[in-house]
Amino acid sequence: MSRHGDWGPRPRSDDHEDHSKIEPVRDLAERAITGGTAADYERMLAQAEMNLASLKQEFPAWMASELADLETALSNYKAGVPDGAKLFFRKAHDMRGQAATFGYPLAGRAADCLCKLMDALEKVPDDVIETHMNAIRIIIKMNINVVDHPVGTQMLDELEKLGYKLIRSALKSV
Amino acid sequence: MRVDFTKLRFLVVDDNPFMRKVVKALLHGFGTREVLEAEDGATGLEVFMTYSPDIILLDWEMPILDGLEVTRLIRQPTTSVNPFAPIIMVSGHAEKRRVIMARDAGVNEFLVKPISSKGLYDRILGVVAFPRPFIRTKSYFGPDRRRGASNNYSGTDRRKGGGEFETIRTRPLIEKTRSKT
Repeated sequence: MSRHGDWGPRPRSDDHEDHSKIEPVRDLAERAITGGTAADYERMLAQAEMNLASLKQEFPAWMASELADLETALSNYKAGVPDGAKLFFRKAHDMRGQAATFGYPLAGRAADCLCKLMDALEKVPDDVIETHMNAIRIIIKMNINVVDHPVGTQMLDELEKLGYKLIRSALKSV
Repeated sequence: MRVDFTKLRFLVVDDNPFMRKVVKALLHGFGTREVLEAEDGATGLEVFMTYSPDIILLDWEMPILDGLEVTRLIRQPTTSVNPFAPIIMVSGHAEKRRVIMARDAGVNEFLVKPISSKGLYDRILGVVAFPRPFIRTKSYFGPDRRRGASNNYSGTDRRKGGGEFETIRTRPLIEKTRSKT
């Protein structure tokens, strides 16, 4: 294997003072780009959306499982388990990324707010964590799976106000 | 122009089995036949080194090695089987600071969850049809972080030298794949 691995020869020269600019080999384009119409593109996206829709009946069970994992991570964090904070953040981050895909956009918003707080504050107060967790629990257990649910939206607006207020005060104190 | 997904092999690295299932469903919907999976960064790296997938879809927050660490290891010109492999980071992190961190580690594209079929398709089309040049400096190896020239930039020129390309021929991935089987 060469100094540069098995992906090619050494650069021919270093033309520039502090960097090399390397033209990519377009082997993927040569292999996988074909002609197609807008209809082909739409058909492809529609098939992908259909595949996703076929999973929809599993989403409530997946979210229940995600919530159970988040609860376990929270218990470990509260118990002072090593890396507990990191693992709790990771599970909250999973929830914020996945909840909307799994049909629970407001749970994603609540988890997003929690993640932002954990990112910005050295330690998020326990009662603030609990408020966010309660919101997530309610949304999942009551199967609130629309983005404009009136009570859910109001709850999230209040939660985000609280979050931004805490983040603003933390930034001011730096 | 469209992507023929039957010609591409994907690697999906995500610690969440449900998310892997969603991404796989979308890829199969596009027509993909080969989707490799890994549930943590270290396994993902091992699968990458063994099977040389064409495109990697990588989560950020994962146990053992996270998405940033995996990206940096793939972009090691001296040890990686293909340091040019396109990496699309699929993450719940949407903050600008995080996107810049991912860019500086060497990812090609960034897709914020929740993912949509259109968002995923467009990122894949981007890396296949319009690959950016790679830049090697003392501290960085990866896709050019400048997506275009700015006419409004008035600061000092931080990158010295001309604009000519230096071409490094790479073995097409398909040949590598064939030689391994």
